[in-house]
Amino acid sequence: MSKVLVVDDDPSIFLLIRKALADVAQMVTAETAAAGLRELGQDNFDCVLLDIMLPDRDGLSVYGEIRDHDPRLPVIFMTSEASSETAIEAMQLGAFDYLAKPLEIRTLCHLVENAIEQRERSSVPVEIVASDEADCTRGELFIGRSRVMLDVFKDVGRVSKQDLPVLVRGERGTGKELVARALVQHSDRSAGPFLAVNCAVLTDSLLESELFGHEKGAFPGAESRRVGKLEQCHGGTLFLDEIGAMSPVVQGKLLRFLQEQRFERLGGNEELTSQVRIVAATHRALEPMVADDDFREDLLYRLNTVTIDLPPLRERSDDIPLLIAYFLNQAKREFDKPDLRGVSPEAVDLLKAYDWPGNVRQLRSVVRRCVLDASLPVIVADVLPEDIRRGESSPEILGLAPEDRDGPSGRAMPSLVDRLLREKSSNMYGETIAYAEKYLLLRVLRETDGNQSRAAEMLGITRGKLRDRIATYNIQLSDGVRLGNPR
Amino acid sequence: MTSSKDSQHRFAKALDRLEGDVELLRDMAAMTTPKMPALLGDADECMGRLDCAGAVRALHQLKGMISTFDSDHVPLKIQELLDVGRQGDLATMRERLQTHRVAIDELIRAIRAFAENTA
Repeated sequence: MSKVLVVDDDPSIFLLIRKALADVAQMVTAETAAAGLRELGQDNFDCVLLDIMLPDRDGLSVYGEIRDHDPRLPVIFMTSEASSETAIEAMQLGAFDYLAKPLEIRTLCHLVENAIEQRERSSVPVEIVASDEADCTRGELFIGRSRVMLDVFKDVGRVSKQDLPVLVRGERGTGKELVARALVQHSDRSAGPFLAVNCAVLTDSLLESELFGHEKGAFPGAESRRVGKLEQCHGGTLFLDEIGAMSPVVQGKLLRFLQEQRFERLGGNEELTSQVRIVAATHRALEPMVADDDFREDLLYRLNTVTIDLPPLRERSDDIPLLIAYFLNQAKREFDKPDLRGVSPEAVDLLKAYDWPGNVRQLRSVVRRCVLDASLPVIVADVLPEDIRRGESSPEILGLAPEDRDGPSGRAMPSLVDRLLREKSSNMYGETIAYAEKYLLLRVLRETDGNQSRAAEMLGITRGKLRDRIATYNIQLSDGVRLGNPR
Repeated sequence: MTSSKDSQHRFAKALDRLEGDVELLRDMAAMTTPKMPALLGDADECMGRLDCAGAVRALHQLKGMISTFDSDHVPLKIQELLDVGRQGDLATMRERLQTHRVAIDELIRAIRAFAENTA
């Protein structure tokens, strides 16, 4: 039978805990910190229930000694002084959990059973070891040993020195910008500037001005001349993400630039030239957009002279352990978790079996969150998000927050931003804008009963752009307007 | 005299937390009631010798014991004392203890009655 140490100066609590855990564990009691630490040195325990205010010492400081003694021992704090400060401090220290007094038998029992189970699971040898030495300081690195990724690396090597435009295709979160950066790194332009523009987050006129610049007075509010990205990027590489969201007018101007390296600023007559290599990316098939007149065929042919296809993570599941190890070591260092030993075999199996609709970006976010949430040195299956344990997509994968399971309500924006801050996300802007955009599109499309022409008019964007955004977020228009699973 | 049913009604929330285990709550009451007046006395004594930290310690322990039976009213009053005590404001703590003493004593009596009522 498992053994639990209870340290509390109120002996009536022992009565309650003994009764609650009668079928779960044997109980050893101590009324002071000193007595508790003595017991700890004499016996092996599976869990400790520790009062925060003890007569001889502060429970929070006792915790440090327990951790030194056995970092895998789950410690549950108890206190009648339930304040946010003590709860935050206890969890920051790495407590397994925190119980407010008066204790409730059901909650106590559930928590202790859970702690004992995690203690058992985290005692198995880890499948993936969290290393202190691994070099994970180079940001989001291109990682993979699978055949499909080797093909990508070979493609990058083959075309990086060629001064041709490149089209990178791949689902969201597969690392299209990393391909662009790798192309730059291995090209003769590596010393030149590298700039990135996400065509989907700017309005058509802003995108045009962003790329080509504008003259003073070109439009209301244009109070001074602005140099566009094409000029800024002379001698370097410009990465155009989500090129499918570009309006026909901007597409036409970009095509001219690709053909002649010439352009004019908005509102200007002077013809400018710039030596810029264009790397474009899309998560959508552009061919059907050409068929629908939403994307220029001549521009597509200009761009797809060289195409690199990035595989979705589910097609390279053999790379998942490698990626987990990389993100684990990165998070271990970043979140200062020196006791973190690794990931259990069961958890790795679940992570490998999942289909990762959000691809590598989602895997990174899950690993980081697990490192933050894990109170024991081993990440076990219980720490994984529920949808991964069940093998289903969660609202968060759809870019939503748990509050709005029925679609973005807009109310979850603060919690989304808090979560991204907590996880030290490197894509806060993109994820937050995507959340707001999904809310806006669903709201307006519902208002127009799915009529895209009316919705585009209300939104002040072209139908083509609206179609692109509908496809991007996989908004379903049949049987009511709703979000589908991400592509 | 308080009947067993009245006591159980008064401590209905506490019994809910213990999954209706009257015996357990009674045992806890029997174990803690003899200590409660002593803790109140400790708090008085500490305040008498201007030992604010000592008074806070005693009242904190009292609050922990009492909250098993009443999680809403009296523990909140004791928390108020703890808050001023932690700021070192002994005079206000003493004054508020006087104000809340009736409620605290009444609850201790009710817990004792519950412990003694085996009907």
